[in-house]
Amino acid sequence: MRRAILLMFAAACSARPAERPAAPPPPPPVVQVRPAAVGPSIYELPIAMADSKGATISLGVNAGHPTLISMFYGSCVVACPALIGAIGHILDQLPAASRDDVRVLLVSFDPARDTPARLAELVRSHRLDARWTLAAPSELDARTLAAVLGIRYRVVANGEFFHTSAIVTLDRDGREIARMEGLGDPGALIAALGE
Amino acid sequence: MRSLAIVALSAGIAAAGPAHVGPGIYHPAFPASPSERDIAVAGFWLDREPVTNADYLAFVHAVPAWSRDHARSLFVDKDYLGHWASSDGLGTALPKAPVVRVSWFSARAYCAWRGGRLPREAEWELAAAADARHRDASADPTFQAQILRWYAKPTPAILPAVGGAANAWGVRDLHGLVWEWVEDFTASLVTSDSRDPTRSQVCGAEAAASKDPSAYATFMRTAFRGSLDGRDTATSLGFRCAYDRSPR
Repeated sequence: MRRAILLMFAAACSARPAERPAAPPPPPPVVQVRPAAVGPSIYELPIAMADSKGATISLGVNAGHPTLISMFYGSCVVACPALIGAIGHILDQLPAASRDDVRVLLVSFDPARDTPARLAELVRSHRLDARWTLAAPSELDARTLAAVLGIRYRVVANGEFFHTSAIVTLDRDGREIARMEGLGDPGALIAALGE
Repeated sequence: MRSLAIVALSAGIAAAGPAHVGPGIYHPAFPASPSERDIAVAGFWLDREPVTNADYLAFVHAVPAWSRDHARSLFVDKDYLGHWASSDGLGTALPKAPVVRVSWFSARAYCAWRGGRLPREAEWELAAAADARHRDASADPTFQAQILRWYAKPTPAILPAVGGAANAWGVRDLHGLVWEWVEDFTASLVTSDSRDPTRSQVCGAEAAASKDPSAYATFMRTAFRGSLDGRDTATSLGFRCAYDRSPR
């Protein structure tokens, strides 16, 4: 709730409308690392999803492996390819020992359009290897997962999604050990994965 | 006599059942994009009053997984139902007062249990734009001033009971008692396809975009929703449920 209070102050400052400021430069990514094995496992969420092979999978599909999880939508042209690129970059920078062990789970906001066939096309076009899983849950479950991961999104009338990007690192049991909000230097995230 | 009593009773329940709201057009004071200036809201049903402590206690009895002692930390913070004396006892909290200290996850679970769902932001705002006589009083400075006066008051230690005056839709207590969860609270303040989760820039940009100071109350609600996480609970944050079809 601390942020709620901060925002109330932010709101208060708008009582006197000011000149519209120029758009600020994009901020550097915020990486938070938590001590491992505290907090609940997100694999407790009973969410069923359809993956790019048409199989029904659960959130815990990668249990036993450290996992990078994020959300996206397939028809997105800018931020989502950037997200896939950023995760690929993280995988490439991992020490050899953990590189093969790590898994990636990308969950779609957009079950209506991100069918298994569409997800399979994304796997092909981005040349994603077997470490990657792309899947879509129901709209209700997408909202649940977004709330758990702290990803905010809005469905816009024209079928676009406005969303924040966060790459969340889970330990082998599905507990969050690090998160990166925004895209940029993933050094701290890589360090958390390497441990 | 007996059938008469039943008729009278069901009539009473009908009057207390959810109110039909809409269809209508919701005009956000701070459209997130040009395509979102007018949002069509289909007709729906909305609880006339916020969910009360007594209502929520019945839920916790029926679904003990959502009791204070059993709710998963993935879904609630440590203050969940903290105003109750115990896991299944209200203590000094009034049975007819709105339940507060509930998370978005728990509010959703309650509404699903009741056969409904949380209202979406556009639905809640459409219902809340009405005063006692007009379905859209959003441009009325007196109505807006009244809401802002409430926002300026601190939350009382013991919340009063629900049952304020009905608005033009027949819905009570949308303003003046507690803030309320909406299904798509995470949509608040997401204004671009953003790799940037900073919400603070909204203060200048969005507030300045609105020339109408009466929109300030709406801005307060949007800012509040945008600041929340799904696990958060607060002493002044409750909810009510919506339904896609008449629950009866």
